[in-house]
Amino acid sequence: MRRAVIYLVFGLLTTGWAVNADRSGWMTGAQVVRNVPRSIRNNPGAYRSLYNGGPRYFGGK
Amino acid sequence: MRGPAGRCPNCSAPVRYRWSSAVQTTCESCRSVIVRHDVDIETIGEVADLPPDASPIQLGTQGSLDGQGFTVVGRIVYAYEQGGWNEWHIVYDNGTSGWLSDAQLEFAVSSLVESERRLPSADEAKVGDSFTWNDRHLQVTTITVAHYKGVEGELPFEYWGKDDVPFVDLRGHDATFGTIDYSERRTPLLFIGRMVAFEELNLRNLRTFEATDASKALAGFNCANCGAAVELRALSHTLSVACTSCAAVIDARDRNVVALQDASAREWIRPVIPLGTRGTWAGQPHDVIGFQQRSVTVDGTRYAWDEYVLFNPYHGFRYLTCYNGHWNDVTTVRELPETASVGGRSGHTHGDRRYTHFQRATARTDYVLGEFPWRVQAGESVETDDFIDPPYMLSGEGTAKERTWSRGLYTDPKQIWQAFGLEGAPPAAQGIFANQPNPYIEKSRQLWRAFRWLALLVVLLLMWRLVTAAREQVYQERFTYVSGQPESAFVTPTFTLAGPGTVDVKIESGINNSWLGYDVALVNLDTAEAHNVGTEIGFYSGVEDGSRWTEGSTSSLMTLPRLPAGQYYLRVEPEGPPNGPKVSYRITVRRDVPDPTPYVIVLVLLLIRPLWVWFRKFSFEHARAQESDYATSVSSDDDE
Repeated sequence: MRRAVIYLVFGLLTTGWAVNADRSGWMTGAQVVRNVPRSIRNNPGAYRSLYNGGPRYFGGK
Repeated sequence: MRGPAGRCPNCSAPVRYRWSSAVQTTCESCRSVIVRHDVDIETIGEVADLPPDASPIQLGTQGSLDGQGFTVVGRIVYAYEQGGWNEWHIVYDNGTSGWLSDAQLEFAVSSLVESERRLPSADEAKVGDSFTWNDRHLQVTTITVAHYKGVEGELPFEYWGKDDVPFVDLRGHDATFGTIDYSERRTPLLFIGRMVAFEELNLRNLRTFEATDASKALAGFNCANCGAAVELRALSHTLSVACTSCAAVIDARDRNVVALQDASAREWIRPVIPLGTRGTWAGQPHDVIGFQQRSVTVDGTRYAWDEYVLFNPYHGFRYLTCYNGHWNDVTTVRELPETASVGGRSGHTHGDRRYTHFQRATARTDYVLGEFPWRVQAGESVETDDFIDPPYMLSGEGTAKERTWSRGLYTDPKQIWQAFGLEGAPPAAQGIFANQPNPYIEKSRQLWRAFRWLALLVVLLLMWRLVTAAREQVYQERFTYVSGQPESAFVTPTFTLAGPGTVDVKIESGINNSWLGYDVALVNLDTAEAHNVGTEIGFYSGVEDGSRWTEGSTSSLMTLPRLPAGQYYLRVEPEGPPNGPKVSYRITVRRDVPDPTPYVIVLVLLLIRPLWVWFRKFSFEHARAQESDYATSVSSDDDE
């Protein structure tokens, strides 16, 4: 019985996590850069994204 | 109810009838058998002293059954090769009479009935035969040739000098009890009633079994083999007793009849509950009076278990069995189990439980010690069938003449240790026993119940999100990527996120046999904060060996974490292969799009524990089945 209660509590906690993960965006790989200069709207090429995700796929048949 | 009085024709002692319809009585003074003819009474013989008896019932005992009061006014005593029993003549308060059988403290109440069908002759009846009389379904369980041993008190007929009398005992599935009495040679008599527990009879004015009682005269003798003192705690109920000094098995009725056992067995077989131990078991004081070790041999392997005989002078016998630390509290059953198919196997129903067949074996009695209410002999064998419905086990064992049923309840040995004041702790149980309750069944049930509620909660929350999420499209635009441009990066017009929420950026392209990479930054115009993500889109197709193939995808979805409401724009930097094709693509931005993935993950996480416990439950049952006749075969490799 005690283990069932522990399981129930675990279930409620993970359910809460699921709701929060859905609403807040989970597993998002976004990197945040603060104080982005407003000038990039005029010169987009001057901004270099700091994003450094996985290697790009260059393959194919 | 008090009947007429008179004087004994033999000794002139006063004779008083308790029942006005009594035909026969015995003079309490000279033991003459007196028969009444209208107002005349005559002596037709004299009965010998009745054999010693340990029944708690006596003449004058009163009781009630189903609200009907009765008084015991007479009895007939029978003996047969496996023991004896009393037929107590009882007179109900309404003036009718019946019989209360006491066969070693197993009680049945019955009365003479007129059979609507012909009764079988004693030679025709066989154990297992079924009959229906007066809507009562009965099965022959025992055929006995009994010897008349004596009478006392008042009887409804003349009965005093009978010889051997065949009896056919029958049982029904609802505790119905029947006896065909062949004492009247020309006409069998049918008695039908039901088996009853001692407490159902509400008996008063019983015999007592205190130390001062005369019955204690039966309580001991000297072993004919070794001379050691032998106690009889179950008094005349004991038919065999194995001397605790030399292990010789003595016939309690003829104490010169002695059978010797393998003396070496005493060295390695020791009862963990010493004989003579008294404890309170099933709410009543019980003495441990006997011990036997029995075994079955399966595929050349001997499996042995211990059985302890418990005795209470009113409630009778019950048994404790122990196999590898697994204990059962065993009682004989009053209702005949009914054959049924249970789970695709042969089985029986008894009460509200359904028992499935577990094992058939030939049980051999290897060693006995102490007292037994049957004629026991080391080395004798009997066919047994075990049926299980944990924590209960229904066992049938018998011969062509008799088949008995008992029910075992799997019992925590700590209760036994406590009840009988045994020292130390009970040995740990080894393996899994036939009727051992599966500890994972209840756990599994609780977990699956909890899982159902949690899964319902998760699904409801997901549905609520799917219904209420904004999924607002805040931006969509089509672009074209041209390879070789000096600067491919660009920014989009600003767009508004009306409320907080996650942001999905989806890129769909008409790309084929090429790839495009995107660095995307979602920039908050108010806070100058950028969230950078990146993705690649590559899609390839072709025909090889006559069949078409594709690889990759023409679209990609990026999810950004929850962002506050505000003005945003995208900075997009596409990158493709040198000299790649011109590619058209579309960027769509949506706010507050629900993601079912976390909910699915939670459901999977929640499944782990119930599935694990279910697996343990299944493994437990599998291990149990391996001990049965239905074990799955093991490969020869495993045997080696």
